[in-house]
Amino acid sequence: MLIVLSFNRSGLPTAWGGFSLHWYQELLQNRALLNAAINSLLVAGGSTLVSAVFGTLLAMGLERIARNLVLDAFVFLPMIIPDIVLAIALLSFFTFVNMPLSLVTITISHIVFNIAFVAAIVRTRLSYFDNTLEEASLDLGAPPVKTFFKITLPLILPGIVAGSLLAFTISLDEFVIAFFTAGPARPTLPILIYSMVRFGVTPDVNALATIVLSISALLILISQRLGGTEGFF
Amino acid sequence: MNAWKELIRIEDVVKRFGATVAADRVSLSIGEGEFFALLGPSGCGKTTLLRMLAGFETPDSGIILLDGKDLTNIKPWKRPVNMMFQSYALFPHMTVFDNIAYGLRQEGLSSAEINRRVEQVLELIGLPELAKRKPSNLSGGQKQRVALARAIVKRPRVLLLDEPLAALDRKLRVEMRLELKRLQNEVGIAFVFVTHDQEEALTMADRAAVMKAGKVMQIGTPEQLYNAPANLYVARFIGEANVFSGRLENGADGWLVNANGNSYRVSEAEVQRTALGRGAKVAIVVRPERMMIQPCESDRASQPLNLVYGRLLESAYLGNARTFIVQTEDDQRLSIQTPAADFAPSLSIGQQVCIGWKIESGILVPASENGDSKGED
Repeated sequence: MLIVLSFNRSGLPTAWGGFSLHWYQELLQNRALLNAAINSLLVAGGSTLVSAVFGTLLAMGLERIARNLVLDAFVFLPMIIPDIVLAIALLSFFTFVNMPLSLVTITISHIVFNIAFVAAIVRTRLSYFDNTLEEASLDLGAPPVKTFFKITLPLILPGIVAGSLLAFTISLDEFVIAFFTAGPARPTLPILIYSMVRFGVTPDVNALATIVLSISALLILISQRLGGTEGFF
Repeated sequence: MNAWKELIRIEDVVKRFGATVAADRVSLSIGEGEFFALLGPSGCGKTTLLRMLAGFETPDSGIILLDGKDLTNIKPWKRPVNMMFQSYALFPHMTVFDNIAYGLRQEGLSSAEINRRVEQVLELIGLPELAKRKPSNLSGGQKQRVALARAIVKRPRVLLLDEPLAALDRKLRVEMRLELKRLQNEVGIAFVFVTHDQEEALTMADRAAVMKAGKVMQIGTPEQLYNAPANLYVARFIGEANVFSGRLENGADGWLVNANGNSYRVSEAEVQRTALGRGAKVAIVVRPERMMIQPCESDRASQPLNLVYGRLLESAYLGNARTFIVQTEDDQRLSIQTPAADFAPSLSIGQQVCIGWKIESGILVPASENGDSKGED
């Protein structure tokens, strides 16, 4: 429905005025929306990058060093608890440490749950990983760090990419936590859309939503394909 | 092989995992260019010993020397030792060529040199056309060869093989035994391999160490292990054994073992070899192919044979041989093997039979010392 309406020339939800990319053109001229989109990409990109690195390390630690159910539950808590609870907790934290709300605070907040998503997916990948491959590499003369980059990393990379794509998508669409931890000056896309929608659904919002929807769907599709266990590349 | 020269020396090595002792004061030496087997049932500590040689485990105490140098604190990636893993552990994201070249690249050799050596080793294992394949496109036998190539291309001082043939089907396994032996001869590297299959150890190894619960029970050539086992455990583990346990006595016409009220004679040579004395708890071990079986009509006990009487339970034709299972009068089961042509039709199941063996065919072993204190089954 939304997708169809985004191509509706008339701009009215009730009448079909013919196929048109008019609203997409309109969208490109809306500076506020574009800025918000850039903000969202920054938050999603930044939090994903950090989460990819630390989520992977976390997964390796959980799988290799500390196999512990309580620790597991603790790490994956941010995936399970309601967004609103996490949002309030983070807001109080930022207030407590006297950190002004900005894109940085949103990014930090997103890292909190994105790490958990990346770690969860990388861990599944790691559980299929044959540790004798690392031993073979050590045995053939490659020290541990080199072994990690030559053997371990390439083999779990699909898991890391899958986890990162998922994290990126979630971060891009995330509203509740971003809303609570966003500064007044630079809203992310979902926040801006929310404020626009309060004054009625305009056709350019339809267009925007369609774009976001397609990107998310695409990323999730890719992430699912990579997350599978069979076939390395 | 030329004169034996020590390459590896394991001295008093102890390794514990929690309550289990994987290596209990193990001491042994392996010679240069030797094909050495660590043989024992699963959980006897043979793999742990191999992993200590590779550097993946450190001994709790004791030392491991290679060429007289202490290996204990040398990391796996710095040891002149390579290992072939039971699962082969080929890197799935690399081609056969890259797998084999991996170890050479760590040494920083020129790519021309690497190419040359990889091609050479591919030739050696007879798979030069597979260089560009990924491991997932290889058969089990091919993977095994590639894993071997990857381990020997670095020209280690010692090659460790963890159950090298276990993952292959039976026919291929038998072929690969000879193939491994040929390769070992060609490259001249000492091979240390772990196996639970005594036949594998006997056919391939120059010498083998038989292990049980972290202890070395005997080290010797296949012939020594089979013909002169140091104890009952080795006698039973290597090949089949008919066992008569009792006390060693010095009778009027030579040495005797009194077992279950019967006396069996044992040769002077065996008593001297084992240095056992009167009254010692011993067992006579007789290999199935050293026993003779015939219908029991002839007069009892006149030849220089030890005789046992029993009832034939089973008889199986094996093509080149025939095996018989006999239940003796004192309820022991014996296994006898004869060339297939002898006696074939004349014995029937349930018949009374007479079993004999030459006095010098009986192998004398201490019944309890060094482990097997459980005695009879």
